[in-house]
Amino acid sequence: MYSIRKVSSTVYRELLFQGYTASRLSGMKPSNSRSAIRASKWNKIILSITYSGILALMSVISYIIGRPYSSSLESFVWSFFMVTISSLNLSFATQQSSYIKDLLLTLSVNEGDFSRIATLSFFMTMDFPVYSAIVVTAIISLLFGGFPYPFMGSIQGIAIGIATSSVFVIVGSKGSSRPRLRSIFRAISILPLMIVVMFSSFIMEISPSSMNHALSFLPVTSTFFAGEGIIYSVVTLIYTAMFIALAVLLFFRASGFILSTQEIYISLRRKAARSFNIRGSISALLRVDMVQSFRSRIAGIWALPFGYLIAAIASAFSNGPYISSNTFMFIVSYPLILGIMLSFLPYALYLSEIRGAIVFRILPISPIRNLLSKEAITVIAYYAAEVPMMALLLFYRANIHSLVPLLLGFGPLFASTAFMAIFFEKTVKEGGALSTLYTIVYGIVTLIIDAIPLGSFIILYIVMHSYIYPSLVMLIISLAEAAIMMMPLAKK
Amino acid sequence: MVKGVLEVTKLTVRYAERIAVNELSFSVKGGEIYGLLGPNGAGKSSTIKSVLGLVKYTGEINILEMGPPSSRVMNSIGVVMETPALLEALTPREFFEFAGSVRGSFDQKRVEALVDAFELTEYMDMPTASLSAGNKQKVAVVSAMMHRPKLLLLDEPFNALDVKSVRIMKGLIQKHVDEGGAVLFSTHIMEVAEKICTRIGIINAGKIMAEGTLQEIEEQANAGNLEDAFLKTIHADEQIKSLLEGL
Repeated sequence: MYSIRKVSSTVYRELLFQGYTASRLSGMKPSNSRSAIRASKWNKIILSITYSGILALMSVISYIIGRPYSSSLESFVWSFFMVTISSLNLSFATQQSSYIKDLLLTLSVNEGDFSRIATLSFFMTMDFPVYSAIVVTAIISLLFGGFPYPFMGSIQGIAIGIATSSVFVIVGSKGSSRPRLRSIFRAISILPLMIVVMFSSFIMEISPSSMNHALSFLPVTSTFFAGEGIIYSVVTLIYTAMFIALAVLLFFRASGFILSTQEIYISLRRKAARSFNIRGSISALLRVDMVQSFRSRIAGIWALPFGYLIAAIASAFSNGPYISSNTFMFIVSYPLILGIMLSFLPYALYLSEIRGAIVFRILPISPIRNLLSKEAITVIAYYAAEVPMMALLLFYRANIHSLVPLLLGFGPLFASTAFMAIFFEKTVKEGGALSTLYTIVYGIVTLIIDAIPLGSFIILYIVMHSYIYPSLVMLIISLAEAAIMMMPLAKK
Repeated sequence: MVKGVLEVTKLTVRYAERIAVNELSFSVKGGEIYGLLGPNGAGKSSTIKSVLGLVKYTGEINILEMGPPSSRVMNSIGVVMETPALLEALTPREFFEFAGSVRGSFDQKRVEALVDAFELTEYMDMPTASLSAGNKQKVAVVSAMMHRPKLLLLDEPFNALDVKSVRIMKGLIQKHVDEGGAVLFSTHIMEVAEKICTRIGIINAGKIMAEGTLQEIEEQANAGNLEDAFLKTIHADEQIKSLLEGL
């Protein structure tokens, strides 16, 4: 007789390993599997400890500065991220996990137990983050007393996080006869992630006394008002219960997909026989990058810049006078946040296909040529989101000079994409495991690469009170950074 | 005839603590099929990955007298990996277009002939991800051969192929060497190696244990066929005997 918990634990480890391998930059199997298994197990624990620490700190600060209601959103955002990030790899793993079902069935595991194993192993990908978020926020709520803002925010964040992760798994696993529709659906599925990112940027603007009370009856925002009366508390509790129900429903639905990936069959429009379309090398690379990213499970990445644009426009319209009196902050923060969001694009493009890296190695594609294609795509995405923003600024009759930072703001993104190429080449060459430490180093260096030109812009703006020269300096520094990073790539 | 198409000298590949390839040296000349034979985990795939620059190595690799693996050299190489290296979101047609575009040369007639030969026509507009293992392997084979490369690197190329496709591929390999091309061919199937390889290197635990023509290998091991010679060379013959007796 087998133990469902033990089998689930084994399946969970396999899922973790497969997801980890599939989500690696190179898409190649790690040469040091033992270290990869260790890294994939530690990732969840390190992530939980780090995020719980941030969550605790931010919640406590909210209480100390006399804004306990802010702690609900802090807890919501960080709990959400803990759950979604830890289970994100699972959507990659589902691509290659159907063999696990075949294996278990040959070992006489019946269908009923199989379903329990799938559910339990799915939960194991997020158990530690869920427990740590609940424990940390419960302790803070008890310590400070009053309405348990952090605890309620965390429960809602966990529920929405589980629902989002489940949607990722379902969308990533489900086959479709309409590939375009599937790509669009995948793009939309990333919206909850984006909305939470958007929420996090408004934390410091929360003030129930000055906010429209209609918000007290909306999901998530109702929690800000929960301490102001029994009716608001009840509304918050009802929404929390609804979120939990949604999470449970989607969780069990997704569990069915975890170990039984449907066969993907896409019937594309048949082209006339014998027609081949040969392009220039860069244009062929560009096309393949676009096609791969749209057809793969990372299609949602394309929703990021455009979704953020919509959020920024909505924010600008709801704070009409704000944009005209604080144009500078708005202009500085917009390319910065957009740049950070778009820095996921080259990362996603590089990992968009399993074993893709090997194909790029066995064809005559130099790292520089490969990079140029990624640079072109990120710059196109940047301008696609920036141009409407510039139109918005013109609509608000902003100083025409204030458009210059937006126009030249692609520089930091250009430089960080070049760094991404180095990181990618190194990962492939080393054949090493993408450890948490490796990813943290990547994140820190990318931040430094972005911060140097953007910091120079801000300092020069304060000194010169001009948009043009600081923007030019920002661009020159970024291009110099990119050139430095292209040097080792050119040698290959 | 092209000489010294591939020169490998003192090649060493390490994965953490483990040495996968240990100071391996061999060369493949034009008009030659060099068979790298070895048991599972002997270092065959690691050797081929080194030649492609996919893994970190020490030692020297000289391809077509153009130096170590680089994107420039890849234009003259055709590769079939043990697991087909394809972009699975693309259709075979899109993949061939992509390969032709980045190589800067595309012989449509040859691609059409290869597609016909491997009976891929009806799958040309289906995503590679939805193809069977055999058809994926065929796509990889067409992509490796469509630009008439000078060097073919074949790592277990007959994996998942049907009998007809294997025969066609053997014929294509033979035609390739008859025209002066070179082949580095890795396999653990002795019958295949026996029939098509010009020279053979038996590799075990990352080291070359024996090298020569089929006849020389058999003579060195004092064996009547390649399988016996192989097992004797890697000292597995006596082990197998006692294992079978114990079963």
